[in-house]
Amino acid sequence: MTVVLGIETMGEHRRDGIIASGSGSGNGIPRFFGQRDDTELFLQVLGRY
Amino acid sequence: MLAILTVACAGMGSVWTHALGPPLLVTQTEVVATEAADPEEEPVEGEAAAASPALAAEPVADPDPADRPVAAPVAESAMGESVSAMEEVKATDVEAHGEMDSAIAESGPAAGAQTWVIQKTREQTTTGDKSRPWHASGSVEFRTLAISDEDPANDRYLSLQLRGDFDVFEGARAFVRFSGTQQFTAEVGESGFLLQDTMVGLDYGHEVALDFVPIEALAGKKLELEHRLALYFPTSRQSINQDKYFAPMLMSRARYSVLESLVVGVDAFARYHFHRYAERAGPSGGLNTQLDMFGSLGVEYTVFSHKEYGTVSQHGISSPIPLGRSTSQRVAQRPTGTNVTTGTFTPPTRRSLT
Repeated sequence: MTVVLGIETMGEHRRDGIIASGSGSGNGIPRFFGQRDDTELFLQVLGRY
Repeated sequence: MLAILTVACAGMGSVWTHALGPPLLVTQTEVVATEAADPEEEPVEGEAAAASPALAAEPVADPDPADRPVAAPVAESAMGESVSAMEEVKATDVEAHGEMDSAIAESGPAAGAQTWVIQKTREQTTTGDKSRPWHASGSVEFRTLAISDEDPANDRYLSLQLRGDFDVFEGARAFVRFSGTQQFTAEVGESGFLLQDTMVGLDYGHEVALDFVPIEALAGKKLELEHRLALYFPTSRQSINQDKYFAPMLMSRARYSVLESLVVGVDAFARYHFHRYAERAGPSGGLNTQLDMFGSLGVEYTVFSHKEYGTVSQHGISSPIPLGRSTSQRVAQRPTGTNVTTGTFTPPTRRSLT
């Protein structure tokens, strides 16, 4: 079993398939690294047999 | 208990992605704690190598056993414990950090547990106990925004996965994977649990020696490759609403250790969607995607690594770089004015190709 605790930024942006182009995300809102609404915490518990 | 700390770094990845791809970078910081394997079940070096041809070819003693399956080789004497430890931890991320296909999934948070991390190469073929031909694994992941607003339930969810696989031949495993998402909000009368598309496929991992390249720096180096051929079946609400039949996908990943602590990688991914209709339901449904092809670049640098206390590394991943995309043109168009929820479709008519 493994436990993973992590923080990720801009992952949701990527997972949604939004391709950033220049300073825009497609909705007119500028994106930048570390933006608060693009930063997620995650906790995983994984097991295998 | 083996603890691994992995820290994602922005800087290096940022340079990489800005130079070669869209200026979007995904970074990740992880703290990983892994239960030590049962010594009786822990595969010996030979077994591990047999199960992983790449390991058999060249044992890998990774200072970062959790996250560096393509770590540069070091002295075999340093390997003993770390091979099994590495395999154990690698295996945990088989699905959790698996694929780019999930990273570009159309269904939002469902892909949350599958953030692509560059160093997770070859984990698909090294899952679990090597003495058994079959394996089972599962994961639960909780995600939330780092900064919550007044209504945080919308920004939190659980991602669940179950996978079973079977050794087909050396380096290759057939698998079936089920996944779902538990939302903390739901429409009235609906469940917060959403089943995602089910995947059935084959993973294959191997290495290519780079000795044939007439560059001295590449002598003795290897390129780690992984391939996946799989079929998605429409068990998710979104796919069902799109009248999807199935979607074959092909993915290849390459990893190269520039230095012992520096790994770069490339992913390529293609998926073809078979839908009943070319158009989605609803007045503004638009056309279904028929083919999508993406690439992605990444880099990882390990700053600190300790077998017991963990690893600090940095990784950055570019956003999917579109290599090609098309919408449906050869399947029947959804009759105008119908609604998917009413079941009032008339028999589809073939659309003439233009």
